[in-house]
Amino acid sequence: MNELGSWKQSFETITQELKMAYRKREALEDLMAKNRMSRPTYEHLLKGLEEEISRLEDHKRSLARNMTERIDELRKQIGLIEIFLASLELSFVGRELDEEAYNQQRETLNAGLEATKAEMKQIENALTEIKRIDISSQ
Amino acid sequence: MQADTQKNIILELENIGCLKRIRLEFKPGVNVIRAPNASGKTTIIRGFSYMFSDKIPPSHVLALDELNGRIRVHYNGRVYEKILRRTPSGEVIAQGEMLPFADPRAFDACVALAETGVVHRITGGSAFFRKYLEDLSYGNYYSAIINASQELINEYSRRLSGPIFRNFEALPLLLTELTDLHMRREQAQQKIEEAKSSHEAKLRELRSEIESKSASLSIEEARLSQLSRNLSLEKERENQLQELLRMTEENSKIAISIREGISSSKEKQEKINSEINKQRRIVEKIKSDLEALRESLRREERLGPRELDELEKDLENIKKRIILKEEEIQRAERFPPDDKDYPGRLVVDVRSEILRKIEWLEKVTGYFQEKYMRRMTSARRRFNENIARAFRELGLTGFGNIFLDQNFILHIMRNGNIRQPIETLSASEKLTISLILMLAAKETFLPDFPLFIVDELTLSYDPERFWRITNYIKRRVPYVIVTSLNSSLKGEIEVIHKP
Repeated sequence: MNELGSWKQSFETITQELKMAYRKREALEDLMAKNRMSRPTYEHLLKGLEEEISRLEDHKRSLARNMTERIDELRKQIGLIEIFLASLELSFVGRELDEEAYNQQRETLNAGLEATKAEMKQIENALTEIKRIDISSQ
Repeated sequence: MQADTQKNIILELENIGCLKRIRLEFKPGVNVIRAPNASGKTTIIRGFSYMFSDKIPPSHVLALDELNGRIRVHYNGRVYEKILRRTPSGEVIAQGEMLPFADPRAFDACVALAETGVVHRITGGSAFFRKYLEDLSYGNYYSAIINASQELINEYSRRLSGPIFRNFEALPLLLTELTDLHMRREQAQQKIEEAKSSHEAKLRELRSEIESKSASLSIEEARLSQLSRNLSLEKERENQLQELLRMTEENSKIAISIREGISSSKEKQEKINSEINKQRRIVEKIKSDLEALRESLRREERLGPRELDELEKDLENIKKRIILKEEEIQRAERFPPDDKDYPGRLVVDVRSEILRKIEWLEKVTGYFQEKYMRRMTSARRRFNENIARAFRELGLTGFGNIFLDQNFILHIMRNGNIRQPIETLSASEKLTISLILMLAAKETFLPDFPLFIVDELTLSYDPERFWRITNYIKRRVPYVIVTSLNSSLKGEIEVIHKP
């Protein structure tokens, strides 16, 4: 849960900071276009801004990599839980388990499966959002 | 004989201090200037030392009532002379030649004057010794360059922390504020659009409600008409039955049946009337609702979106703030036209010029700091070696080691490596160490200077040790001059030569 919280917080911070940095670049371009700023000052500020954007993008890329790795991990986890569920069904059908134990275990595994799928969905959505920022910044 | 005479140094002083005219001859070896108290021994040493450099002598070098003076030295078959003149403002100027071995550092390394504080040198602490070795090794030139560079760096750094540069440094922040205003402008525009479209939707809703109410009204009015027609028909039926009743016998069965018919018709009429009344109320209600809806529509159309004014005011306000922020940014990038150093120039250009200068000065400082460190380390090492040699060769037992550490603090170690605080040394020991330090300085920095002068240090000194040191100096320096108090001489000054 902590791991989930940590990437989420990083993701939100980085998304916000990147959006702001892109908006600042737009504002800078606007000043230049309106002749409100000289080229040397514009270039000086742009340099700083590009450095900031590059740093944030590096951070974002590393975050996206971690998130993709986490998705793979969760996918494997889902596969395992599904195998457990199938094995549970077989045990129940083969009367190796009584109904109460079967129901209890199935409920636990299903809850785990749902939580894992929900986390995977959240990360996938976040990745889509990251790609969307990429497209809108170009 | 001629060659021997040529080796002698003759010093002639004229109107120097209290001395009207004096001629002294110094031979290779030890020369003792003997004179009674206050007869001018130190004046002779000072007068002689003016020939070691082109330093401007102080105004008291000449006797108070004298306008001119002269220092003349016969050395190696040549005469070197300095003429001193008092200017109308009272200052003294000097013209003439220095000795061929002149060196301005000689006064500090080769002239041990009691009044200039030979002893004070060893009790002067690290600041003194650092400065002493800096001056003698010319490390002071490096430190002057380092200090000047540092001062310039400080000056440029001070400039960079001035209000105009601070405003310029705040440009990224101003850009963030501007971006924030842009975002707020977009939000305000979006709110206006939303308000407009919500108002349009409301109008559409009202129009559709009116349409639907109008349709209901038509239906309900048609129903009312139908009910009115039904009532008329029923009334007509009743009238026909009444007519029929009048033509029928009163108690006949037909009459009874007609009366029942009339009664039923009246009941029907009552019912229809009641329905008509109800229907009228419905129609009235619909009409009133319709009127209310039309009124609402008219009002909405007249007033437009409720918060639009407020929102548009907000938007205008944000737009004004954007303009002000843009102007602030524009101002922050340039020096004002009346700036005394950089009128109208771009701060970014001036800033990078200054940063380039600072970078260059830092390189200069670094380069000279390294040179200074090397020179000072080497000077300290050689100085320490010469001190050690002097102690060793003089056979001064009791002292193990005397040296300056890397912080230029003088350490005096007794035998057995016991540290002796300088303050606890006897006066005689302080003098011994002082003389040896000075001799070490001379040997380190002025090895070819042919003179070593010791002024009246014998007063509080062990004579045996003094002569041991003097003889040691004699072996290392061609001419040793020592002044000595002799109260038995009546105002005369004599030089006794000890080869």
